[in-house]
Amino acid sequence: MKVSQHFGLLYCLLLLAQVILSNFCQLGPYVMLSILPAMILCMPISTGTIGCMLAAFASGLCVDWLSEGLVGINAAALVPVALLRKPIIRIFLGEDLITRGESFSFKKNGTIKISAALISALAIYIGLYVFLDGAGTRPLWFSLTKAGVSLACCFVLSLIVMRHLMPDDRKQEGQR
Amino acid sequence: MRKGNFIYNLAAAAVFILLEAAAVSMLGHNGTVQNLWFSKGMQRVSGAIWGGAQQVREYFMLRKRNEQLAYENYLLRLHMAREKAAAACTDEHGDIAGNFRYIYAEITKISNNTQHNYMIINRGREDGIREGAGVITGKGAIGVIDAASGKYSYARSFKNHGMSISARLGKDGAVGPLSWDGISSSGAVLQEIPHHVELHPGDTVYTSGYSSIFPPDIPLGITGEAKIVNGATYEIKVSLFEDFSALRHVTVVENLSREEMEKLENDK
Repeated sequence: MKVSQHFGLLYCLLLLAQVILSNFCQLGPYVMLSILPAMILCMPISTGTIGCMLAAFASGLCVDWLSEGLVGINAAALVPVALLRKPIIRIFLGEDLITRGESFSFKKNGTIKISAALISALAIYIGLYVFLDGAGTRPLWFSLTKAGVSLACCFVLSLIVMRHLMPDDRKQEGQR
Repeated sequence: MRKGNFIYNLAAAAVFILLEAAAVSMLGHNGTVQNLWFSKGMQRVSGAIWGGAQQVREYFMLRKRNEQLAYENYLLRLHMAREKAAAACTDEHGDIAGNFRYIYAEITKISNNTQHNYMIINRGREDGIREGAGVITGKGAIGVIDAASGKYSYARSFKNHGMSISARLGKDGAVGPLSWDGISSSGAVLQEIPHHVELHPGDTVYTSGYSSIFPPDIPLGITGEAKIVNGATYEIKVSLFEDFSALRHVTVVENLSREEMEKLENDK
Protein backbone atom coordinates (compact mmCIF):
# COMPACT_ATOMS: atom_id res chain seq x y z
CA MET A 1 0.00 0.00 0.00
CA LYS A 2 1.33 3.42 -0.91
CA VAL A 3 2.45 5.61 1.98
CA SER A 4 0.29 8.53 0.81
CA GLN A 5 -2.86 6.44 1.11
CA HIS A 6 -2.38 6.39 4.85
CA PHE A 7 -2.70 10.16 5.13
CA GLY A 8 -6.51 10.22 5.45
CA LEU A 9 -6.48 7.58 8.15
CA LEU A 10 -3.61 9.25 9.98
CA TYR A 11 -5.40 12.59 9.75
CA CYS A 12 -8.50 11.13 11.38
CA LEU A 13 -6.46 9.50 14.11
CA LEU A 14 -4.64 12.75 14.82
CA LEU A 15 -7.98 14.55 14.95
CA LEU A 16 -9.07 12.08 17.57
CA ALA A 17 -5.78 12.69 19.40
CA GLN A 18 -6.50 16.43 19.31
CA VAL A 19 -9.95 15.84 20.81
CA ILE A 20 -8.39 13.80 23.60
CA LEU A 21 -5.73 16.47 24.06
CA SER A 22 -8.37 19.20 24.32
CA ASN A 23 -10.48 17.23 26.76
CA PHE A 24 -7.93 15.66 29.07
CA CYS A 25 -4.76 17.67 28.75
CA GLN A 26 -5.53 21.01 30.42
CA LEU A 27 -2.23 22.58 31.47
CA GLY A 28 -3.58 25.79 32.96
CA PRO A 29 -4.76 29.14 31.66
CA TYR A 30 -1.49 29.99 29.92
CA VAL A 31 -1.21 26.90 27.74
CA MET A 32 -3.35 25.53 24.96
CA LEU A 33 -2.17 22.51 23.02
CA SER A 34 -3.04 21.99 19.39
CA ILE A 35 -1.67 20.00 16.50
CA LEU A 36 -4.31 21.18 14.05
CA PRO A 37 -2.09 23.74 12.22
CA ALA A 38 0.59 21.07 11.69
CA MET A 39 -2.04 18.70 10.29
CA ILE A 40 -3.23 21.37 7.84
CA LEU A 41 0.33 22.24 6.83
CA CYS A 42 1.09 18.57 6.11
CA MET A 43 -1.87 18.02 3.81
CA PRO A 44 -0.77 16.89 0.34
CA ILE A 45 0.41 19.79 -1.85
CA SER A 46 -2.01 18.71 -4.56
CA THR A 47 -4.93 19.60 -2.27
CA GLY A 48 -6.29 22.97 -3.37
CA THR A 49 -6.76 25.94 -1.05
CA ILE A 50 -10.55 25.57 -1.06
CA GLY A 51 -10.36 21.87 -0.18
CA CYS A 52 -7.85 22.65 2.51
CA MET A 53 -10.08 25.36 3.98
CA LEU A 54 -13.09 23.03 4.01
CA ALA A 55 -11.02 20.35 5.75
CA ALA A 56 -9.76 22.92 8.27
CA PHE A 57 -13.29 24.13 8.95
CA ALA A 58 -14.60 20.59 9.40
CA SER A 59 -11.66 19.61 11.63
CA GLY A 60 -12.01 22.75 13.74
CA LEU A 61 -15.75 22.20 14.21
CA CYS A 62 -15.21 18.53 15.01
CA VAL A 63 -12.73 19.37 17.77
CA ASP A 64 -14.96 22.18 19.05
CA TRP A 65 -18.02 19.93 19.25
CA LEU A 66 -16.27 16.98 20.78
CA SER A 67 -14.31 18.94 23.36
CA GLU A 68 -15.40 21.43 25.99
CA GLY A 69 -14.34 24.56 24.10
CA LEU A 70 -16.39 27.23 22.42
CA VAL A 71 -18.00 25.98 19.22
CA GLY A 72 -16.47 27.76 16.23
CA ILE A 73 -13.26 29.03 17.84
CA ASN A 74 -10.96 26.34 16.38
CA ALA A 75 -12.67 26.59 13.00
CA ALA A 76 -12.31 30.38 12.94
CA ALA A 77 -8.62 30.18 13.87
CA LEU A 78 -7.77 27.29 11.56
CA VAL A 79 -9.38 28.41 8.28
CA PRO A 80 -6.91 31.33 7.84
CA VAL A 81 -4.04 28.85 8.29
CA ALA A 82 -5.49 26.79 5.44
CA LEU A 83 -5.87 29.92 3.32
CA LEU A 84 -2.24 30.90 3.90
CA ARG A 85 -0.80 27.38 3.69
CA LYS A 86 0.49 27.70 0.12
CA PRO A 87 1.99 31.18 0.60
CA ILE A 88 3.76 29.88 3.74
CA ILE A 89 5.15 26.87 1.85
CA ARG A 90 6.13 29.14 -1.04
CA ILE A 91 8.03 31.52 1.26
CA PHE A 92 9.83 29.00 3.46
CA LEU A 93 10.14 25.88 1.32
CA GLY A 94 10.26 27.32 -2.20
CA GLU A 95 8.02 27.75 -5.22
CA ASP A 96 9.36 24.57 -6.89
CA LEU A 97 7.67 22.37 -4.34
CA ILE A 98 4.25 23.73 -5.30
CA THR A 99 5.00 23.72 -9.06
CA ARG A 100 6.07 20.09 -9.00
CA GLY A 101 3.37 19.13 -6.51
CA GLU A 102 5.94 17.34 -4.34
CA SER A 103 5.52 16.71 -0.65
CA PHE A 104 8.04 18.21 1.75
CA SER A 105 9.97 16.40 4.46
CA PHE A 106 12.60 17.02 7.11
CA LYS A 107 15.03 14.93 5.09
CA LYS A 108 14.51 16.88 1.86
CA ASN A 109 13.94 20.44 3.09
CA GLY A 110 15.71 20.52 6.43
CA THR A 111 14.43 21.04 9.97
CA ILE A 112 15.03 24.82 10.01
CA LYS A 113 12.89 25.59 6.95
CA ILE A 114 10.08 23.33 8.06
CA SER A 115 10.25 24.74 11.59
CA ALA A 116 9.97 28.27 10.20
CA ALA A 117 6.89 27.29 8.17
CA LEU A 118 5.40 25.53 11.18
CA ILE A 119 6.00 28.50 13.49
CA SER A 120 4.29 30.80 10.98
CA ALA A 121 1.25 28.56 10.74
CA LEU A 122 1.12 28.15 14.52
CA ALA A 123 1.50 31.91 15.08
CA ILE A 124 -1.50 32.63 12.86
CA TYR A 125 -3.60 29.97 14.54
CA ILE A 126 -2.62 30.75 18.14
CA GLY A 127 -2.80 34.51 17.58
CA LEU A 128 -6.37 34.25 16.31
CA TYR A 129 -7.35 31.70 18.94
CA VAL A 130 -6.11 33.83 21.84
CA PHE A 131 -7.64 36.96 20.31
CA LEU A 132 -11.08 35.34 19.89
CA ASP A 133 -10.91 33.58 23.24
CA GLY A 134 -10.04 36.78 25.11
CA ALA A 135 -12.74 38.79 23.25
CA GLY A 136 -11.23 42.06 24.42
CA THR A 137 -11.59 41.15 28.11
CA ARG A 138 -8.06 39.94 28.83
CA PRO A 139 -5.07 42.26 29.38
CA LEU A 140 -2.43 42.36 26.66
CA TRP A 141 0.29 40.83 28.84
CA PHE A 142 -1.89 37.82 29.54
CA SER A 143 -2.70 37.30 25.87
CA LEU A 144 0.95 37.66 24.86
CA THR A 145 2.13 35.26 27.57
CA LYS A 146 -0.49 32.70 26.64
CA ALA A 147 0.36 33.03 22.94
CA GLY A 148 4.12 32.69 23.60
CA VAL A 149 3.89 29.69 25.92
CA SER A 150 1.31 27.97 23.71
CA LEU A 151 3.46 28.56 20.63
CA ALA A 152 6.46 26.91 22.28
CA CYS A 153 4.46 23.88 23.48
CA CYS A 154 2.55 23.44 20.24
CA PHE A 155 5.75 23.73 18.23
CA VAL A 156 7.38 20.78 20.04
CA LEU A 157 4.22 18.70 19.82
CA SER A 158 3.68 19.59 16.14
CA LEU A 159 7.24 18.64 15.18
CA ILE A 160 6.57 15.14 16.47
CA VAL A 161 3.27 14.97 14.62
CA MET A 162 4.82 16.21 11.38
CA ARG A 163 7.47 13.51 11.45
CA HIS A 164 4.63 10.98 11.31
CA LEU A 165 2.57 12.83 8.73
CA MET A 166 5.21 13.50 6.06
CA PRO A 167 5.38 10.58 3.56
CA ASP A 168 9.18 10.64 3.02
CA ASP A 169 9.96 10.74 6.71
CA ARG A 170 7.46 7.98 7.40
CA LYS A 171 9.07 5.87 4.68
CA GLN A 172 12.47 6.44 6.24
CA GLU A 173 11.19 5.49 9.66
CA GLY A 174 9.59 2.36 8.14
CA GLN A 175 12.89 1.32 6.55
CA ARG A 176 14.63 1.56 9.90
CA MET B 1 -4.38 30.03 -17.32
CA ARG B 2 -4.06 33.31 -15.50
CA LYS B 3 -7.80 33.90 -15.83
CA GLY B 4 -8.42 30.45 -14.37
CA ASN B 5 -6.13 31.22 -11.44
CA PHE B 6 -7.88 34.51 -10.88
CA ILE B 7 -11.30 32.85 -10.78
CA TYR B 8 -9.97 30.15 -8.45
CA ASN B 9 -8.48 32.77 -6.11
CA LEU B 10 -11.75 34.66 -6.16
CA ALA B 11 -13.64 31.49 -5.29
CA ALA B 12 -11.11 30.76 -2.52
CA ALA B 13 -11.62 34.24 -1.08
CA ALA B 14 -15.39 33.77 -1.19
CA VAL B 15 -15.16 30.36 0.51
CA PHE B 16 -12.82 31.83 3.14
CA ILE B 17 -15.21 34.67 3.94
CA LEU B 18 -18.12 32.26 4.07
CA LEU B 19 -16.36 29.80 6.39
CA GLU B 20 -15.01 32.52 8.66
CA ALA B 21 -18.41 34.17 8.87
CA ALA B 22 -19.99 30.83 9.74
CA ALA B 23 -17.33 30.08 12.38
CA VAL B 24 -17.51 33.54 13.93
CA SER B 25 -21.31 33.40 13.90
CA MET B 26 -21.23 30.05 15.73
CA LEU B 27 -18.71 31.46 18.18
CA GLY B 28 -20.96 34.46 18.77
CA HIS B 29 -23.94 32.21 19.48
CA ASN B 30 -22.04 29.98 21.87
CA GLY B 31 -19.87 32.42 23.84
CA THR B 32 -21.59 35.14 25.86
CA VAL B 33 -18.46 37.30 26.10
CA GLN B 34 -17.75 36.83 22.39
CA ASN B 35 -21.35 37.67 21.55
CA LEU B 36 -21.15 40.94 23.48
CA TRP B 37 -17.76 41.72 21.95
CA PHE B 38 -18.96 41.10 18.38
CA SER B 39 -22.14 43.12 18.83
CA LYS B 40 -20.14 45.98 20.34
CA GLY B 41 -17.75 45.84 17.38
CA MET B 42 -20.64 45.70 14.90
CA GLN B 43 -22.30 48.67 16.56
CA ARG B 44 -19.05 50.64 16.36
CA VAL B 45 -18.59 49.78 12.68
CA SER B 46 -22.19 50.53 11.74
CA GLY B 47 -22.01 53.75 13.77
CA ALA B 48 -18.91 54.83 11.89
CA ILE B 49 -20.50 53.98 8.52
CA TRP B 50 -23.78 55.76 9.29
CA GLY B 51 -21.94 58.72 10.79
CA GLY B 52 -19.80 59.05 7.68
CA ALA B 53 -22.80 58.75 5.38
CA GLN B 54 -24.68 61.35 7.39
CA GLN B 55 -21.74 63.76 7.18
CA VAL B 56 -21.58 63.35 3.41
CA ARG B 57 -25.34 63.88 3.13
CA GLU B 58 -25.15 67.00 5.31
CA TYR B 59 -22.28 68.36 3.24
CA PHE B 60 -24.36 68.17 0.08
CA MET B 61 -27.32 69.76 1.86
CA LEU B 62 -25.30 72.76 3.06
CA ARG B 63 -26.36 75.01 0.18
CA LYS B 64 -30.04 74.37 0.83
CA ARG B 65 -29.51 74.81 4.57
CA ASN B 66 -27.66 78.07 3.92
CA GLU B 67 -30.55 79.43 1.88
CA GLN B 68 -33.01 78.40 4.59
CA LEU B 69 -30.93 80.17 7.24
CA ALA B 70 -30.60 83.29 5.13
CA TYR B 71 -34.37 83.41 4.68
CA GLU B 72 -34.83 82.80 8.38
CA ASN B 73 -32.43 85.68 9.10
CA TYR B 74 -34.48 87.90 6.86
CA LEU B 75 -37.66 86.98 8.71
CA LEU B 76 -35.97 87.58 12.07
CA ARG B 77 -34.68 90.96 10.92
CA LEU B 78 -38.15 91.87 9.79
CA HIS B 79 -39.58 90.70 13.09
CA MET B 80 -37.01 92.72 15.03
CA ALA B 81 -37.74 95.82 13.04
CA ARG B 82 -41.46 95.30 13.64
CA GLU B 83 -40.91 94.88 17.35
CA LYS B 84 -38.91 98.09 17.48
CA ALA B 85 -41.53 99.99 15.57
CA ALA B 86 -44.47 98.30 17.26
CA ALA B 87 -45.32 101.19 19.50
CA ALA B 88 -45.28 103.84 16.79
CA CYS B 89 -46.63 101.82 13.92
CA THR B 90 -50.33 101.89 13.25
CA ASP B 91 -50.85 100.03 9.98
CA GLU B 92 -48.60 97.02 9.74
CA HIS B 93 -49.09 94.38 7.11
CA GLY B 94 -47.05 92.06 4.86
CA ASP B 95 -43.36 92.86 4.84
CA ILE B 96 -43.74 96.36 6.24
CA ALA B 97 -42.29 97.27 9.62
CA GLY B 98 -42.62 100.83 10.86
CA ASN B 99 -41.68 103.19 8.05
CA PHE B 100 -39.78 100.57 6.10
CA ARG B 101 -40.65 97.78 3.72
CA TYR B 102 -38.25 94.79 3.83
CA ILE B 103 -37.77 92.65 0.73
CA TYR B 104 -35.63 89.52 0.71
CA ALA B 105 -33.26 89.24 -2.28
CA GLU B 106 -30.27 87.30 -3.59
CA ILE B 107 -27.29 88.82 -5.34
CA THR B 108 -26.95 87.49 -8.86
CA LYS B 109 -23.89 89.52 -9.85
CA ILE B 110 -21.42 91.55 -7.86
CA SER B 111 -18.32 93.60 -8.57
CA ASN B 112 -15.83 94.01 -5.74
CA ASN B 113 -12.46 94.79 -7.19
CA THR B 114 -12.84 98.20 -8.77
CA GLN B 115 -13.23 101.71 -7.37
CA HIS B 116 -16.84 101.78 -8.58
CA ASN B 117 -18.46 98.56 -7.44
CA TYR B 118 -22.02 97.44 -7.96
CA MET B 119 -24.32 94.47 -7.54
CA ILE B 120 -27.36 93.11 -9.31
CA ILE B 121 -30.10 91.49 -7.24
CA ASN B 122 -32.91 89.17 -8.27
CA ARG B 123 -35.78 91.46 -7.26
CA GLY B 124 -37.16 94.30 -9.33
CA ARG B 125 -40.11 96.62 -9.82
CA GLU B 126 -42.52 93.67 -9.86
CA ASP B 127 -41.42 92.91 -6.31
CA GLY B 128 -41.95 96.50 -5.20
CA ILE B 129 -38.38 97.74 -5.43
CA ARG B 130 -37.85 101.41 -6.28
CA GLU B 131 -34.75 103.49 -7.00
CA GLY B 132 -33.21 104.92 -3.86
CA ALA B 133 -34.01 101.91 -1.62
CA GLY B 134 -31.24 100.63 0.62
CA VAL B 135 -29.61 97.20 0.56
CA ILE B 136 -28.69 95.73 3.94
CA THR B 137 -27.67 92.53 5.69
CA GLY B 138 -27.54 91.74 9.38
CA LYS B 139 -23.94 92.91 9.36
CA GLY B 140 -24.14 96.20 7.53
CA ALA B 141 -25.50 98.56 4.91
CA ILE B 142 -24.38 97.22 1.58
CA GLY B 143 -25.56 99.65 -1.07
CA VAL B 144 -28.31 101.71 -2.62
CA ILE B 145 -30.62 100.75 -5.50
CA ASP B 146 -29.81 102.89 -8.56
CA ALA B 147 -32.04 101.31 -11.17
CA ALA B 148 -34.72 98.65 -11.26
CA SER B 149 -36.15 96.60 -14.10
CA GLY B 150 -39.09 94.20 -13.88
CA LYS B 151 -37.24 91.37 -12.19
CA TYR B 152 -33.79 92.73 -11.35
CA SER B 153 -32.28 95.76 -9.70
CA TYR B 154 -28.90 97.45 -10.01
CA ALA B 155 -27.41 98.65 -6.74
CA ARG B 156 -24.40 100.86 -6.16
CA SER B 157 -22.16 99.11 -3.63
CA PHE B 158 -21.03 100.82 -0.44
CA LYS B 159 -17.54 100.15 -1.80
CA ASN B 160 -17.85 103.09 -4.14
CA HIS B 161 -16.08 106.43 -4.17
CA GLY B 162 -18.41 109.23 -3.28
CA MET B 163 -20.89 107.05 -1.45
CA SER B 164 -21.45 107.60 2.24
CA ILE B 165 -23.84 106.41 4.93
CA SER B 166 -24.94 108.38 7.94
CA ALA B 167 -23.41 106.49 10.88
CA ARG B 168 -23.48 106.85 14.62
CA LEU B 169 -20.74 106.06 17.09
CA GLY B 170 -22.35 103.64 19.49
CA LYS B 171 -26.11 103.61 19.90
CA ASP B 172 -26.33 107.17 21.12
CA GLY B 173 -23.04 108.80 20.15
CA ALA B 174 -21.97 111.38 17.62
CA VAL B 175 -23.08 111.10 14.00
CA GLY B 176 -20.97 111.45 10.87
CA PRO B 177 -20.69 110.16 7.31
CA LEU B 178 -19.12 106.73 6.85
CA SER B 179 -17.47 106.00 3.53
CA TRP B 180 -15.29 103.27 2.04
CA ASP B 181 -11.54 103.87 2.46
CA GLY B 182 -10.98 102.87 -1.17
CA ILE B 183 -8.17 100.46 -0.27
CA SER B 184 -9.16 97.43 1.70
CA SER B 185 -12.16 95.15 1.40
CA SER B 186 -13.41 95.77 4.94
CA GLY B 187 -12.03 99.23 5.66
CA ALA B 188 -14.11 102.40 6.02
CA VAL B 189 -13.65 105.90 7.44
CA LEU B 190 -16.00 107.70 9.78
CA GLN B 191 -15.60 111.46 9.43
CA GLU B 192 -16.78 114.70 11.02
CA ILE B 193 -16.87 113.39 14.57
CA PRO B 194 -16.40 116.39 16.87
CA HIS B 195 -13.01 116.31 18.63
CA HIS B 196 -14.54 116.67 22.11
CA VAL B 197 -16.14 113.25 21.79
CA GLU B 198 -14.40 110.59 23.88
CA LEU B 199 -13.28 107.74 21.62
CA HIS B 200 -12.72 104.12 22.53
CA PRO B 201 -11.18 101.83 19.92
CA GLY B 202 -13.49 98.85 19.42
CA ASP B 203 -16.72 100.85 19.70
CA THR B 204 -19.48 99.67 17.38
CA VAL B 205 -20.68 101.94 14.61
CA TYR B 206 -24.39 101.80 13.67
CA THR B 207 -26.56 103.44 11.04
CA SER B 208 -27.87 106.67 12.48
CA GLY B 209 -31.33 106.63 10.96
CA TYR B 210 -30.81 110.23 9.83
CA SER B 211 -31.12 109.30 6.19
CA SER B 212 -34.19 108.43 4.21
CA ILE B 213 -32.54 105.22 2.98
CA PHE B 214 -31.44 103.03 5.91
CA PRO B 215 -33.26 102.28 9.15
CA PRO B 216 -31.41 103.10 12.36
CA ASP B 217 -29.23 100.77 14.50
CA ILE B 218 -27.88 98.44 11.85
CA PRO B 219 -24.38 97.48 13.07
CA LEU B 220 -21.76 98.45 10.51
CA GLY B 221 -18.34 97.84 12.04
CA ILE B 222 -15.97 98.65 14.89
CA THR B 223 -13.76 101.66 15.34
CA GLY B 224 -10.00 101.56 15.13
CA GLU B 225 -7.37 104.31 15.02
CA ALA B 226 -8.48 107.91 15.01
CA LYS B 227 -6.78 111.15 13.94
CA ILE B 228 -7.77 114.80 14.16
CA VAL B 229 -8.35 116.47 10.79
CA ASN B 230 -8.07 120.25 10.35
CA GLY B 231 -7.84 120.55 14.12
CA ALA B 232 -11.60 120.26 14.41
CA THR B 233 -12.94 116.78 13.81
CA TYR B 234 -11.88 113.19 14.15
CA GLU B 235 -11.40 110.84 11.24
CA ILE B 236 -11.83 107.31 12.56
CA LYS B 237 -10.89 104.09 10.82
CA VAL B 238 -13.70 101.55 10.88
CA SER B 239 -13.40 97.83 10.27
CA LEU B 240 -16.63 96.67 8.62
CA PHE B 241 -18.45 93.56 9.83
CA GLU B 242 -19.64 92.51 6.41
CA ASP B 243 -17.39 90.53 4.12
CA PHE B 244 -18.33 91.82 0.68
CA SER B 245 -16.58 88.95 -1.09
CA ALA B 246 -18.94 86.39 0.53
CA LEU B 247 -22.19 88.28 0.03
CA ARG B 248 -25.15 86.35 -1.31
CA HIS B 249 -28.36 87.02 0.61
CA VAL B 250 -29.47 90.60 1.26
CA THR B 251 -32.54 92.57 2.27
CA VAL B 252 -33.78 95.58 0.38
CA VAL B 253 -35.25 98.29 2.66
CA GLU B 254 -37.47 100.97 1.31
CA ASN B 255 -38.45 103.99 3.36
CA LEU B 256 -42.17 104.43 2.77
CA SER B 257 -42.01 108.07 3.82
CA ARG B 258 -39.07 108.95 1.62
CA GLU B 259 -41.03 110.71 -1.10
CA GLU B 260 -42.89 112.80 1.44
CA MET B 261 -39.63 113.72 3.20
CA GLU B 262 -37.89 114.61 -0.06
CA LYS B 263 -40.86 116.69 -1.22
CA LEU B 264 -40.79 118.60 2.02
CA GLU B 265 -37.03 119.13 1.63
CA ASN B 266 -37.44 120.37 -1.94
CA ASP B 267 -40.36 122.68 -1.15
CA LYS B 268 -38.39 124.29 1.63
